[in-house]
Amino acid sequence: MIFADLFFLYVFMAACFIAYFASRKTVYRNWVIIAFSLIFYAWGEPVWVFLLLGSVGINFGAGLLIDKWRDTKKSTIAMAAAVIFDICVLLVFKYTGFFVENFNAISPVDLPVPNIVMPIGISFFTFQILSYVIDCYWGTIKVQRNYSKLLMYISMFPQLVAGPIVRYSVIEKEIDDRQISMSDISDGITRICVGLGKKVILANNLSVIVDSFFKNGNLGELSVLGTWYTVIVYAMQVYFDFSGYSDIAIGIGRIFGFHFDENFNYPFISKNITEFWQRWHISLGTFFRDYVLYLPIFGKRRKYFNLFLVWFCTGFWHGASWNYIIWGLYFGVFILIERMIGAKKLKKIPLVVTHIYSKLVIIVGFGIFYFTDFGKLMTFLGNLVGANGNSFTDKISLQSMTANLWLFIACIIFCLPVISFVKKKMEEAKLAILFGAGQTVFNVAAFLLSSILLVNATNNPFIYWQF
Amino acid sequence: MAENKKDKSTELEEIEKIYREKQKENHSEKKNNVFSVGTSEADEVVPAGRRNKKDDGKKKVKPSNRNPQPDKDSPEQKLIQKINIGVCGGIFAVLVVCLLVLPRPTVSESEKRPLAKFPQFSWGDYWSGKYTEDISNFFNDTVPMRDDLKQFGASFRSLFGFSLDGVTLSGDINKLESNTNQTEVTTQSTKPIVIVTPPPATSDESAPAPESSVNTDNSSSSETSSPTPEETKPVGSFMTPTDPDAQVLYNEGNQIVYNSLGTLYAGVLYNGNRDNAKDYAAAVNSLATQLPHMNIYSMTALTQNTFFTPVELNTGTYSEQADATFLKNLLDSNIKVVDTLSVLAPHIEEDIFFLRDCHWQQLGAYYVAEELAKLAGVPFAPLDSYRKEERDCLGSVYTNTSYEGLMYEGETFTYYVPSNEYYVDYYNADMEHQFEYPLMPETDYRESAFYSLFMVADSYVKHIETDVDNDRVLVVIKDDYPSAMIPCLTSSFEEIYVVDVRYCNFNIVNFCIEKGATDVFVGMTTESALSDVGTYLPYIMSI
Repeated sequence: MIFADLFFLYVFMAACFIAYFASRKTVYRNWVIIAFSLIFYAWGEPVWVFLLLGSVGINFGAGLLIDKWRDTKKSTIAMAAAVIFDICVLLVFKYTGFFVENFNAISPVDLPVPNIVMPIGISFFTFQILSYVIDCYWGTIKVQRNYSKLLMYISMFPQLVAGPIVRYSVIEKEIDDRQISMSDISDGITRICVGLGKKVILANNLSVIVDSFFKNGNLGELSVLGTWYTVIVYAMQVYFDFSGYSDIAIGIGRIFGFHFDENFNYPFISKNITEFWQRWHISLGTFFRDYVLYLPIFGKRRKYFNLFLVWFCTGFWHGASWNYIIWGLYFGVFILIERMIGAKKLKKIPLVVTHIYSKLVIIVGFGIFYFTDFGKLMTFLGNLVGANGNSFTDKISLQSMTANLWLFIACIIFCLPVISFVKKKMEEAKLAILFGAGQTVFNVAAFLLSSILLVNATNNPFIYWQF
Repeated sequence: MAENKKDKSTELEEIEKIYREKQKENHSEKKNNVFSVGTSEADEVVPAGRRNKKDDGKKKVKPSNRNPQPDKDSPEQKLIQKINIGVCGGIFAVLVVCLLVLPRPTVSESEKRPLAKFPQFSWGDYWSGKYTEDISNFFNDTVPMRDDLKQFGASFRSLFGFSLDGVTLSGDINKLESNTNQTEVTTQSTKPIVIVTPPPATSDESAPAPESSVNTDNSSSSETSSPTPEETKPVGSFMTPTDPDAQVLYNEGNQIVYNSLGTLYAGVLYNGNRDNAKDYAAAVNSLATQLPHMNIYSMTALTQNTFFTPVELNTGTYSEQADATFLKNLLDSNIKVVDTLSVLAPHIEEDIFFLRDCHWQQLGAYYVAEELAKLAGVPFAPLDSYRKEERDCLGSVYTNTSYEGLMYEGETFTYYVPSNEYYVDYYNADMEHQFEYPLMPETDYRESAFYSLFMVADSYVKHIETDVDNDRVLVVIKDDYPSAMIPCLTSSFEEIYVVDVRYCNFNIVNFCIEKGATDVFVGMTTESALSDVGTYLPYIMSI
């Protein structure tokens, strides 16, 4: 089941909210969330519910053992065993085919490539489980002694299949004791409407342009301008697609009384790549920062090799394809360079220069992200600089730009903190009620319009579902 | 060993340094909590496992630049929240009730297809995920007022563009030419030149027809049409155009959008199953046997797949043309075949087909209706007696795929309103009278459901009484394709009954007898005849 779907919005979500608010006690509400989360997951993947239940069970047991044997070697063994299990599950389901293909490529053998169906959201819930076990071991959280509560944390449907990767510590207290204020419900509604609009109205229509030029068009003959244009559109599409999903997840969580951390923070206003990754897919970045960056496995060269490891993992996490690894390392290289230059020197560079630099790197990065086919990736990179003999511009690209003008204007407004700026100014001018009324109108319009655009829209997957 | 110890002490010193810096940072972090990911700032962050445990329980990662929120408990903010919850929640509740309570459509008039049905449960389907997927599909496909909502959605998308020199640019514009030097957007309805050459020997057309029942009237149309060089050739002399440079822009199932010779085309690739030919032919033959005193006509129409679509794009085992000929050879000799190939080939330079819709223009239907009238020996009104109208339309491929480039292209729908008098009664599939309504309700015209101009919807059985006085009663048994022919036949028959094979709950043989039919026309596309649609014919003959 996906969020951008009429059945989800008008049947599943409606039924879930009714059941949730009909239950008065937190313990019953937790069971409502568990029941609906398992239905949500089973809707497309009934078999994998057992994998989810089993995985939670093993890590639940590991948590208990870690606590029982705390400050002994047995505790470390229990933690390591759970971590190895979790990583193995991820590797088997997500990367087996990739490993076999590459092994075949470098060896004379020709092993059959297994066609393993990847359980939806395995990358996300595996990381949540990992964070729980490691945090238990570090003692930064209390071990959960109730299986159903841990199951609720892992399986909670808003963030189950495409994040954000919610840390246990973030909702630890809210599992047992949460208050739902009017502010939470109102903000939750707004986040759902905004998220749905981002996905259905903006991202879906941007994807049509991207498909026209990159997927269905002849890439080799695309002009330099057309290539830049399309990859910029793709960058916006990914942003609205993924941040839209995060908005809906956070919004539903708010209505349930949970306060998830933000996953995006206007990434396109970043002045450098370091800042971009502090604003883009924040929950993944902080995960690698906390659990990988400080692994003491590279000795005194930790500073650089751990950085390499983090960005290798970041790329590899996104998919079993070399382009994702290249994509991760590509950003790692720029972050390393920025690190060598130093934050102080970076600040001295004129803003215009840093913005141009950061946007170029980010946009080219999205091109690397898009093309899983290495040949097409090289064609794309050649197109960017006209190395394929392609013309500088073409009529179709120019017409497409003008043809979608209003769409781009809307995208730019929502890429930048324009709305929050307006809100701040209006609140300062004692016009908060006017802004509030406008926001309600916007919410209704976005929700209605998205619903209409979803009528008979048969294929609406979020991009990050594949990861 | 010493070096190893030195390494470890260096590492510990680094961690200590990080920790001290973090302690300092704690003060400023309250003011500006910056995310750090493998960066210079990252050095200022202590890994989770090495944090002060007392602090860590409370520490949460927060975005850096959250605006200071106004007091959410202030009366003003509470009012805003109440309004937001009340309005949004209220509208959401109403929509939920409407979507659950309002009757759900079963047929899409704009897409000319039955909509998804609620799936039957089976454990196999459930574990494969098909059952739940089908439930979602059912809900999404059968939204009340779906056709209107889809049209609204298309209209909204058209707003993305802006007006330039009086021409509205909207949606996505696709690359139409493989040669960048020739790139241009084509908006005129130019067609590729059709090549008419002597045919190669095509063994796939020869049907294993029984000797006694082979239709020997191979050129029934050539007997009545004015001869042209093309027409004088035997059936099969028409060759589907070739274009090795045809560029596929979009392909979903059999729906295809392509560029050929500078023109944007869209259609449905031919996908007939010749294995069904014998059953379909047997049903038509049986109909003729059961109605021995009536004239039986058969048309398995050829579409754009024969006349426009380059052979390079054809993915089927046999061509549409070959299958139509194969099928025709299976029919008994007493069945009069309306041969669309020989009728339409001479008119290929005229606007007889849509470029971006799977149907024919009414002009094409007119020529074929004329052929039917000639075979039946009934009068037929000349084209200039009709009122000609032109409307913008969006083809069925756009409706089915929402491929934006098609919306930008658009198309002109030309239709002809007969000038004679006639009355039309509409019945449901059980022959219960529903209403009287125009044959071509122009006031209900919709761009995305333009083919509904012909008698509202296929799901109704129509009874047309005309001002013709010749005691000829025609029963038309059809799919959606021949609908455009019906207005052209109002000057030929005194009464016409129109029955869609997909929406008929009565025995069609008894129906023809009860209604005193003199002529029975069985018409559909070749693909329909050789697909599930064709299987409806023996079904309605036996219920």
